[in-house]
Amino acid sequence: MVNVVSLAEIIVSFIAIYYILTVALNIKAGMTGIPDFGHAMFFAIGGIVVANFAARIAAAFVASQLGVSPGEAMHLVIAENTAIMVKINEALATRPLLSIMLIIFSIVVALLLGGLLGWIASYPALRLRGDYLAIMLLTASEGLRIFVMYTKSIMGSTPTVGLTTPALFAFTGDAGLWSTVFVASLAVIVYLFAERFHNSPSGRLFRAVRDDEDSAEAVGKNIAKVRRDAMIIGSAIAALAGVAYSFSTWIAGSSIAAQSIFDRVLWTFWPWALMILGGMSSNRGITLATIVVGALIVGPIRIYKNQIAAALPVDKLGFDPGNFASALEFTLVALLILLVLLFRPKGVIPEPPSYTLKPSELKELVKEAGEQLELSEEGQQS
Amino acid sequence: MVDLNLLMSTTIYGSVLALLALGITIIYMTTKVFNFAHPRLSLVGAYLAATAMAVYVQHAGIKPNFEGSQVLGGQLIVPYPASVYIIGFLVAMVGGVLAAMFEYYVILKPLLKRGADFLKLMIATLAYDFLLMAVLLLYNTHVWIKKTLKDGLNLIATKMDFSAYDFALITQGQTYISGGFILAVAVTVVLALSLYILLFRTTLGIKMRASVENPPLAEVLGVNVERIYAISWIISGLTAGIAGFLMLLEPSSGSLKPISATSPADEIVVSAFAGSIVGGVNSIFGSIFGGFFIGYVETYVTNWLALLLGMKELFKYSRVVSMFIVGLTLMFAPQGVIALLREKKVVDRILGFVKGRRGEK
Repeated sequence: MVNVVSLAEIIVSFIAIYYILTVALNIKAGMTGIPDFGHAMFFAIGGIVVANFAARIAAAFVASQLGVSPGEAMHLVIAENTAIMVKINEALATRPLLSIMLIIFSIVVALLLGGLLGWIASYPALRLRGDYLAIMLLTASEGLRIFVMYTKSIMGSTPTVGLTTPALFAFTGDAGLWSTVFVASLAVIVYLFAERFHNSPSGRLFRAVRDDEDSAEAVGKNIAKVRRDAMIIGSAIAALAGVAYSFSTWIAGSSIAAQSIFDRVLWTFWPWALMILGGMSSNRGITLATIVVGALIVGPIRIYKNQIAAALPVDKLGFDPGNFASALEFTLVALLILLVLLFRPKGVIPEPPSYTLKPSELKELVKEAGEQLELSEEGQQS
Repeated sequence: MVDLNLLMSTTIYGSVLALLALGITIIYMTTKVFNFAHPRLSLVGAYLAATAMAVYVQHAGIKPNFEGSQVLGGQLIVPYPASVYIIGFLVAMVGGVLAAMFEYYVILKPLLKRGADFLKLMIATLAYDFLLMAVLLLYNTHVWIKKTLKDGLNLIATKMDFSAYDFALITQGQTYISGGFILAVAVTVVLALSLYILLFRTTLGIKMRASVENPPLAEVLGVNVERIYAISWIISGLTAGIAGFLMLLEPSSGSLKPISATSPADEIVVSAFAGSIVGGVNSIFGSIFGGFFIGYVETYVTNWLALLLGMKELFKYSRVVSMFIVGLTLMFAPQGVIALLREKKVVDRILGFVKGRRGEK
């Protein structure tokens, strides 16, 4: 049985990771209208950065404690992952400075690499429209998944088992709590960024391009650049979500696998579902949807799915309880999305109008203008 | 020496892709949505077919024909009487059609009526894909289904591979022509021919082409466009079901993994869409060509590269090839390879070259 504190931590980490990932998708799909069905590949970059790059660097730094040369240690991270990572994680627990450096390194590198992959993916995004682009991105994501799954030097030899992640939060003593705090603060930063970005000049430009490319072009905006920027920013944030996932000891566990970080259901379809549920291009809607769905549906189902299945008398009907629970999650997400599409296509909180000034300032202006009008009318009358 | 087994399994794979690409293309032409759930429809067909065959075999007390058995490539092939396959084939088609009709009437049609854009329709097909996956997951772990498949056909419900009961047709020493191969080729040819007759030689075909070309005009002229759409979904489900039956017969040493709730639909979704796109998403016969093209290229190009580079592991990356093909096609020939050839008059040029009229203008 999971106690209350861990349950809260699991749900908070869960919401934070999905929130970051959904904001990333929203910048691409909701604001700029790029139908990114290959969102998982940008997410996966974050996982690869932590499990591979950060782990290798950690190995090089602690090589002297392991009694091997740094080059050999970096090689062993992939070759004998489980055995060597146990030792590296023991060493990391006593080296806070190295851990913090690696955390910063992972975030920076993931943002850069995610942005780079987004820049590469923007090449088709500039030339293709609508459903063709969606197919292209989905195909690219699946192709990349197969490439990573079978390339041993990236994610280890077994695609379903993967690599043990470096325990970057072990030095704090309570990795579960501190990784949750860290991931949640990342989510808060992303929330503040998204709130500001929505009404910023570039945010408004993104939505202008989405709504009408021709008129945006007519007033001298560079459409290609806007779409490229959206892909770069969105993909970089998606990679950040991947890093947050790999940091979280509650959600990812102690290892991450190629198969799970490229999962279409978890990292492409769920963010789409949350975005449509919350309202496309509506940051507050997404926040609300992520929190409600995360806290009420997904978190408890993921954690308690075996208990739920055991409580329902499904095995008497001949169903397998474990698979029944997984099927329950798939069915719930599918039904949720279909019902939202049918009955609330604009989402819970539809896209807010963009105020170039604060609403209170706008009211003030309107009031002043009205007073001036009255004054001038009075002047005319007298 | 041509590896006959590889050629046969690749051909089955190619025709599975061709049938799937055909279904995707028909739906895209009429309903204007890429149906992401399409490969999963064929799994529904495969599971229903296997269950029906197992029930039939058990109830009619049919035993596999051990006299006609063959040991080929270390695998014992024991054919059943023809009636078993016929039942399986028919039920697979029914399963595919039912799953497709459900998708059209319950999910897409209400959305279309509400004026959903392509993005919402696509998301809806993805949602249906997961719904089907959940249903199949429940189905293939159900006690009764597991028992029926095991007792009837000795199949593992979560890992179905029917190739051991392939109806090996012509055997001569160590060479044999597998029934799955013959069926795959025959079905594809018959389907292509009957679609040609349907589309270009019947009134219904003219109506269908008119509804694709210009739906409002067709409607004004008295064509029931919605019924035409429903017919296109039936054809799409039919081909998906047949593809599912062929998947059952594909040997597990080939390009397809044994059938489960997720596999092989998850793996071949890219290849199936690649087939549709290479054929040009608005050409039915192009999509059949595209499916076979992708099937052969995936297998043979990776095999050839593996030999060339001396890397045996390379065959695992076969589906990355179709990713590149999709990318290149969409970038440089979005109307499909056939349209590109026609546009550039490649065929004419080759013919002209052969006839020695190259210098003429």
